[in-house]
Amino acid sequence: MLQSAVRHVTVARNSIGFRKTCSLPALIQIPRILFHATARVAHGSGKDLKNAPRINLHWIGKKGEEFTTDGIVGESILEAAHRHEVELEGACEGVCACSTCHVILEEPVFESLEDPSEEEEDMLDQAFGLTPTSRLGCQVELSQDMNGLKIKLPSATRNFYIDGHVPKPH
Amino acid sequence: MYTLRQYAVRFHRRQPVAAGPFVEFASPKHHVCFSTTPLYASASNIISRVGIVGAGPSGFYVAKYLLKELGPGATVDVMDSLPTPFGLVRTGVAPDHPEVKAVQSDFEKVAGDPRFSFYGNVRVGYDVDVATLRSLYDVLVLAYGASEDRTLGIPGEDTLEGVVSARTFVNWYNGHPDYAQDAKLTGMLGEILAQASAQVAVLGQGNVALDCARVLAKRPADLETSDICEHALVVLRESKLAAVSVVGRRGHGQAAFTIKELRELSRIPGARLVVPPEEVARGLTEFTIAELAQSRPRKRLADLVASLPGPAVGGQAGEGGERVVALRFLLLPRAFLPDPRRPRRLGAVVFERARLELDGQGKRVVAVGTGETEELPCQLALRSIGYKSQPVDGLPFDNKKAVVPNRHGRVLEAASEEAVPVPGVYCTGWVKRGPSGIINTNIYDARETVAAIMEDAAQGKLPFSSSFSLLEVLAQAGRKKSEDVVSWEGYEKIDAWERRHGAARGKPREKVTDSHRLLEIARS
Ligand SMILES: Cc1cc2nc3c(=O)[nH]c(=O)nc-3n(C[C@H](O)[C@H](O)[C@H](O)COP(=O)(O)OP(=O)(O)OC[C@H]3O[C@@H](n4cnc5c(N)ncnc54)[C@H](O)[C@@H]3O)c2cc1C
Ligand code: FES
Repeated sequence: MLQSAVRHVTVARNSIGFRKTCSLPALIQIPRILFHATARVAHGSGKDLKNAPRINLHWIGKKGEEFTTDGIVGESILEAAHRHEVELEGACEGVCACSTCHVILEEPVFESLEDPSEEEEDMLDQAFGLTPTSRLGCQVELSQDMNGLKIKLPSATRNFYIDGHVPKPH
Repeated sequence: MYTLRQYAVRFHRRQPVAAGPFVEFASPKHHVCFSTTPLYASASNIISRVGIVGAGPSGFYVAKYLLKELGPGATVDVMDSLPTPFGLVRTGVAPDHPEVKAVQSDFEKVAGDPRFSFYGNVRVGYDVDVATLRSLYDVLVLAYGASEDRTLGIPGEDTLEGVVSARTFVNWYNGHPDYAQDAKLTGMLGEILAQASAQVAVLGQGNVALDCARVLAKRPADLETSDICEHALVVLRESKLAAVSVVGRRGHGQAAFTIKELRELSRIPGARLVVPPEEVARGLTEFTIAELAQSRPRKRLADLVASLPGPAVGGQAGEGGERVVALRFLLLPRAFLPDPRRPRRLGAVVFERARLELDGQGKRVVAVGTGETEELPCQLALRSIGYKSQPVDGLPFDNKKAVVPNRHGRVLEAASEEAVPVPGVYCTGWVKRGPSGIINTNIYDARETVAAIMEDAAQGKLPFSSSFSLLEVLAQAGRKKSEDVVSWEGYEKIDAWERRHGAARGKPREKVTDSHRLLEIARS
């Protein structure tokens, strides 16, 4: 099980420098993940982002409303959302185990990112309104190149869970 | 526990909110009052007292989103029949899934809101009735989940020892007081699993079924650092289990479990997950292939099942200490058979082999019996075909769907299209939509219910509430003494106790499973 935790720690960098998240020091700080084969650790824990550069994030809310906030290079989309009280849940606290932080990105940005891990893909399969450019907000770390990033929150229409994809695991 | 002073403070804090304008609103013409009194027209001012029945995820999410809408003078009371909050996050979610339980810290933040109160150990329908609650609250939200299970209705199900519901088993290892304290159950499970080469059949293929199979198949050492209860560990340490079969009626294209849980099961140290290739092949009918092409999650899941190894040829289950977990498909349970040597005990399950067909409307894939049968020897069968909600006296119930009849979370007077809403009563979570979906699903559900509440409040559709407190009413009814009601502070003591005793064993917590002891700690 340690093996599988370590497998996801590799920090990959693609051609334009977007970084896959997860940091080894964070894993070490929270030993409880060692109990579990698939647990990962919330990002940003222990990171000092005070002096990190800021970028702009454009959000499209659940009802289609648009707004802009800042984002700190090095934090995850989920952390940026929580700093600004954007309505994005993080039920598992950013360890890729709940899919409540589902966001939709634009295709070019999505393509430029490192592929999501198998674990993230598995969790995405449980997300509502899954799209081809869906990601988990806790698994995408902001980088300088992402200035102006558009982030769409999946819409929660009235009958969302009736009309949309309904995961029925239980 | 509430001291008299806390209780008085709570009570008086409410007075200014509940008095004044609300007295006027008691008139049946209150619609008019709202439209002519713009001062009170904001929905957040109108709601002053909210009661929520059930402190599981759905109750907490409703509390969370309502508190965002309500004014500073409002109060939200959440009651639960157990002394502890969090519903199935505590009594359902598997002990080796701590990351799923992380959601508790979000709920703890909700409970930290000064407008929030917890009333643990209060069973609605027994300690207090619904009519009384309706008179106490402007808004009453039912979030009491599903505490029964669906049954198969086949011979031997109710009579043979060793046929147990997955709900019972899960509650047992997770320390639900009604099950963990059942010495007969613990004794029976211990005895069965300690038999050489014990075999278990799990009937059903949702994530609960996989949870049960995983807990049974894991090496005890790999569970020791989880919050699984000590009494369960004692049984699992002695287990000589050889094989678990997880059996479904339909094919792998229709299985209800999710890929993350299946992948996890395929990677358990000391266990091997297998699937008979011919059952996978028979599940790939033309329409299933077409269906899989339509859904990425289903396709990825089906591909993972198909990639699993087949049962070892000539190999014995349990060889070399390795446990075998077998996924089995297209088998309809027909009867539980007794063990010939111990006729009161389960010895095998009889299945009828099935093939897939489309139903009459050509929409749903159904399993149809072929007449061919198979006997699967096992000493323990866990029935995992779904949970079921129960009615509460004084409220309508849809017996067919086993949910509270509702439209977008507004409880209806009857289970019909034309039925009108019961003013001020709402529902959310499993009791609203049936027992399916992950914790995530309750978020959407709660948002919808809160939207309905706020809409009704804005339109003046909420009834008037009295200014009595829940504790006063409980005392009057004589069913529950106020010192037996667990407040949030009381729960925090339980939480601290459990964490402390867990830490001593290297666990995140050691749950207290005796209700009396829980109350004692809360009172301490
Ligand atoms: C075994 C199991 C494992 C699961 N694992 C996962 C998982 O890993 N990940 C995931 O996302 N989801 C999981 N789920 C699903 C998840 O637990 C549910 O979606 C969720 O708990 C439903 O929330 P609820 O609040 O509607 O019901 P519950 O969680 O059942 O809460 C209902 C509450 O109401 C209380 N109550 C009942 N009757 C009364 C009464 N008369 N008066 C007062 N209170 C009452 C109960 O004590 C309980 O606390 C699992 C479910 C089960 C059964
Ligand atoms: S916060 Fe749970 S998956 Fe991202």
